[in-house]
Amino acid sequence: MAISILIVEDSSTMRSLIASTLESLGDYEVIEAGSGFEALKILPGRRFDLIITDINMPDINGLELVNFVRSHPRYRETPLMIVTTEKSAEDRAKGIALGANTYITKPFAAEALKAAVLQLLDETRV
Amino acid sequence: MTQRNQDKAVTEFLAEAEDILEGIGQSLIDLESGMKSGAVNPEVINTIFRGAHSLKGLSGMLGFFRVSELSHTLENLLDNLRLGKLALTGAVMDCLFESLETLNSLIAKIGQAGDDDVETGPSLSHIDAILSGEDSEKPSDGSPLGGVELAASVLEVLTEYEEHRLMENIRQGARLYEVQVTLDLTTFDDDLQELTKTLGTLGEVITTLPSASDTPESTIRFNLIIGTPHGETELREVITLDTAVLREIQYSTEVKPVQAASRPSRPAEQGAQGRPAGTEQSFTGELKGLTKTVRVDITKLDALMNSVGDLIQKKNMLYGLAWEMKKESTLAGPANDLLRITDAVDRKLQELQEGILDVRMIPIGQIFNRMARIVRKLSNASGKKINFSTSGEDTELDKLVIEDMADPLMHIIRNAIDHGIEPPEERERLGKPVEGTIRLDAYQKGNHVVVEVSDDGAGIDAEQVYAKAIAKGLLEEQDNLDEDYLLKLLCLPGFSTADEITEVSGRGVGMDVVKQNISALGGVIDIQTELGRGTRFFITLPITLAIMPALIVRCSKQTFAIPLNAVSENLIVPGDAVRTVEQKEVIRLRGRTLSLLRLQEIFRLPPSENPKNKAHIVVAGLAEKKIGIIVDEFLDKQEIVIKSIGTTLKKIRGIAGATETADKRARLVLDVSALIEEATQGVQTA
Repeated sequence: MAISILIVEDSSTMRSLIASTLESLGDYEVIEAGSGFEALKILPGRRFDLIITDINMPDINGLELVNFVRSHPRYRETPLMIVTTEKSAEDRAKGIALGANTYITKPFAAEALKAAVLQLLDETRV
Repeated sequence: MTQRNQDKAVTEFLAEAEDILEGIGQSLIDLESGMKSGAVNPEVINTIFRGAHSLKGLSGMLGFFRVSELSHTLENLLDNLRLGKLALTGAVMDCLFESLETLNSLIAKIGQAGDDDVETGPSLSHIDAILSGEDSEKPSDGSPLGGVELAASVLEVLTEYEEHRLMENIRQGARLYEVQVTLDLTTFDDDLQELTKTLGTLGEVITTLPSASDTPESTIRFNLIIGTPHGETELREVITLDTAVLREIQYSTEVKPVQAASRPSRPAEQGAQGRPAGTEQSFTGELKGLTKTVRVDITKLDALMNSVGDLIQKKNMLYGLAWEMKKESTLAGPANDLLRITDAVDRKLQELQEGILDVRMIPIGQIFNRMARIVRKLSNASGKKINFSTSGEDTELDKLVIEDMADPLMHIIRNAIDHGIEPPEERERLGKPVEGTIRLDAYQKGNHVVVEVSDDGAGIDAEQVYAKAIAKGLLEEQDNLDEDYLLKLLCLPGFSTADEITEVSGRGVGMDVVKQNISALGGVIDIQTELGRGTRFFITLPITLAIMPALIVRCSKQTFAIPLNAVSENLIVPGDAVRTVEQKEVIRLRGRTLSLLRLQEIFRLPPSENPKNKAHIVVAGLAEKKIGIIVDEFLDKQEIVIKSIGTTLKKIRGIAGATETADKRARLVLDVSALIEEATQGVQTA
């Protein structure tokens, strides 16, 4: 079965960059959410194998989303990656404390994203 | 990334970057007016910060390192601003506007040449200078949130920025409340948006924390924290949601509220009567789902529009066929059916066409914002005080028309600032308000949109313009000086020349280019000016260029299209009604003289075989100027889609573009305003 990934990111260019990179890995189904609210709407009705979220977003921020994801019975253990910049070290640390598994720093190379995703999926495989 | 993916990403990036910069531009204007009135909405700074942040991330990913370096440095500055580590001053505003301009040039360069090779040094050092001088302006917050009693689960979810906003509210002595609401999963975004908006009228919504624990399956819970000078009763009054639970968050005042008056250098925080900055404004928030919108390359819409145009022509053929069939009595029944069906198809095609047109429309406010920035910059450069105001920002026009209006508007505004508005001391001497006014007003008028640019400056001295034109050898001496004529002089190529190039109107682009640009859009420009009182330009534009109804005429075996919005009536008059006055053909029409042009002569077509005893005249004109165009025959009315024309055709006066006929041949579209000019010039100089 395809691995299902949710990308939460308010920049459409960034979203499609991430999506096309991951889709090139093979059997991955990528769902895009353009805002935190959209993610909140999508999450409860589906099941995802991996969630990737930005931190700086207009409605609810990535930390609030991480908190929500971990508060949801279905997503307590779901691999979760935050996309940050080297500048937001403090917010990144909070994200990890809230339960994000890992992070990747913008700008990143496509290969780095692939490697990080594969590693995360590998580590969290039960 | 493959090359194709890379190209696609760059195209997407450009579109998104333009949006981001447009948004930043709007926010900067808001920010500056907030600064001046002493009520800065902190969310505005945060929005600009997010814009710079996104741009940095995107440009870095795509290897545009100059964009990423500048947006990164700018982000640092904005971060300090939003975290209260830097005061918002006029110098900071200047620096922000300057950076925006440089970013705009960078993005434009990428669009044109694919690289971001634009000088960024001055902008970078300007930001660095402000950042390195910041210590003297404002100490950082310092104290942690020790004195505040908040659930740990809330505290650890606040971003650095939200933490700062919370502190700021405490400093200002605001009361903190937690509002908990449980909302239906399908409608929570609207409900929450409503709630945030309502609460925003009383204070600042600091954070919105969603949670799924201990809530029924199909619901979601939100904990909002707001800072407000108001009490519980007022809050309860505005919260209409039944599920809402309100609780005041107590905090001890270890963190001292700071009186605004003790920090005069921080207008950003001087909310009225010591309230938290920004409580005067409502925080509508930006709860938009970005993926609900789709970015479309306008050429794709052109292609769709072409298909619709083709379909309309096919539909017209069906009509023709149906009418032919009707003549055969045995086919009358099916013919009527066919007519009915064709009618239905026609209505649907119209809906389709309107739908596509609607997608192309954007509000003209987008370029008004750009103009506001230009006025700001030029008024600083020229030392003239200018109050810039606009109306009709929501007036919609085709995106292509709007894009092409930016340059002409900018030029007119530059002229108004440079030559129109007098220096402050002179205005004072003349008894005028020291601050000059420039207005941009847009409104719809029938099938057109009118954009007015007016100033209350010195007006244009017609005599002087006239003398100068003669001195330059641009025309012979003559009397007849009216406003039309003045405009014509101003628009002569070579009229604005090196001796009047200044810092402000600078580039040596003259009114002739303005006029050409507006003509190319199928628009006209008019002028009213009064010495000592000011000047007003009226630019009348078609709402769209994509499709327009046109009159199809024939002349010397060729067909031409005349945009119907420029046609006021068609006449067939006896051949002897056409008279020759001073070597020009005219007719009398309802007591007035109408100048005539023969299409055949203008385009040097072979003589027509039209009988001499009748003349077919298309009365065409925009606004007050009209002419009669003599053709051989009126053929039809059709919806036409104008195509861009090659550079060779562009040089031919009187041709606005080309359109395609049903049999795929090109047909020329007449440029009525250029033809009018041709005709009236002849009469006036005669």
